[in-house]
Amino acid sequence: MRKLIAAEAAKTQWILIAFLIAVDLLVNMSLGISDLDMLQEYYAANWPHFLMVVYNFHTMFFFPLFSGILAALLCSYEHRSGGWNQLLVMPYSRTRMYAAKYIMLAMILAVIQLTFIGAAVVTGFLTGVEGNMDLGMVIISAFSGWISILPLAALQLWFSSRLSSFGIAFSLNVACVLPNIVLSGLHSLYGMWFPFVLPFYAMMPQGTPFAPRVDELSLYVWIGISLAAAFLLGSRSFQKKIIT
Amino acid sequence: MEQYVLETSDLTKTYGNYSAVDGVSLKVPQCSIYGFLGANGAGKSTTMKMVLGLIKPDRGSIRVFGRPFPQERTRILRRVGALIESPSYYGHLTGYQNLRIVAKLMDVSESQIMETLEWVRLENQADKKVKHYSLGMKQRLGIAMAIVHRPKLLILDEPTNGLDPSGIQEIRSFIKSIPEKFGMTVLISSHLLHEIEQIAEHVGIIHEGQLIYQDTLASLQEKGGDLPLERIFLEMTGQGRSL
Repeated sequence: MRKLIAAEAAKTQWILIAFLIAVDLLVNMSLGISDLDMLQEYYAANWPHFLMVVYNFHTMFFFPLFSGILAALLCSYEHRSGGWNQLLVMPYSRTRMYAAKYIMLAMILAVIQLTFIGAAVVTGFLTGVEGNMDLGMVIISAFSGWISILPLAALQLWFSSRLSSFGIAFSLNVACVLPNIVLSGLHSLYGMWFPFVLPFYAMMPQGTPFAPRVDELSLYVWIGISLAAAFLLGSRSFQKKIIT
Repeated sequence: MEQYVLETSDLTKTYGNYSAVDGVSLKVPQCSIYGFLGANGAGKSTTMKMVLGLIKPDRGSIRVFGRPFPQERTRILRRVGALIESPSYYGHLTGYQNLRIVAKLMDVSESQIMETLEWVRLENQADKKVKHYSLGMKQRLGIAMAIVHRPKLLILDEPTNGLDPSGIQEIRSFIKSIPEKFGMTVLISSHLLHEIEQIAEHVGIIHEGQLIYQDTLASLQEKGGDLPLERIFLEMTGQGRSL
């Protein structure tokens, strides 16, 4: 299994991933800083409000969109130039090959999440956000944000392993993050069925004006169930994949 | 009794009403080059893909090294190398990186990677991205990736397709030397009679999904008497089209 993951890592174009992270950080940190100045008459320039602004676009657009781009990227190496033939005649079970791709995807998303949270904290301190930062809350939101992207990542890998066009995958993903604008306003019981909105529910700091109404128990039970279902269905479909 | 490296029995694959492969029983003897000959669409690739587990047969059985496939798939594939509908490669990586990925998955030492690169004469191009390789170089890399772990059975599906005459000559000379140099058995498919004639000792002819001949090339020549090989093939397939 470790060898399969190492092979995935060797194939991955890390420069592209660095670029995605850079865009994510640049947009969200500048939004955080500028909004902090602009919105001072409405909100106190404290940590929960700063994180709310910084998290907003990351959870609603960037993070779900990246899960799709990355899944398509990880499968594009095999979709191009007969790569599936090459991979599937290796002496490893298909379940393991699929799991290795998923673990790679989840790990890259974890790296993105860690870099994002790290940058948010550093930016907050540099711009002089008021009050004390609740470190526990920041760590929990980073972790729960990552957990909440996993069902979507499983779904993305399932589709990407079937769909060879990177362009179509990208357009579909852009189209799919747009309903988040509406769904993020709903109570989590109604919105959580749409996997793209899960990171928003899981990460947004509660007690802030943008915070969604969340029922945590049902949210995390659903994250667990949908993750297992999407992964198993994707893996099953991969077992049956026929190379033409 | 002769030991077969690869043996299929009644291998069949049907798509709707169309039989792509119909009751094929291949017998590939050890350390030979077995030429699998047939026109385009005759069922060569489908048969090879079934042998490698890329396509599931509707009927029939496969034994590789005397072991049942796919029941012992992982164990068997450790000792099989393949180049299917080539070339297969990761274009954004260099030749060396491509080979290293396969080597990693197959537990191959660094020195064996270098040795293989030298053997296919790519050692000076190893640090170039594969998307900038010529087709001939890609094909040589494909062969390197298929043999880097020194398999006992090498399966090559039309390895000279699309190459220019000098490229064909080059690949042919590589393939010819494989059984002796590495002790591998080679199963190679082609739609070109003269190609198989130049490298193979055993030959199987597939026509419209059915294996219509299987024996040594010499006995095929004997069977035809004074007729040129091309004539024998055309008569066997009952068609005027050239193989």
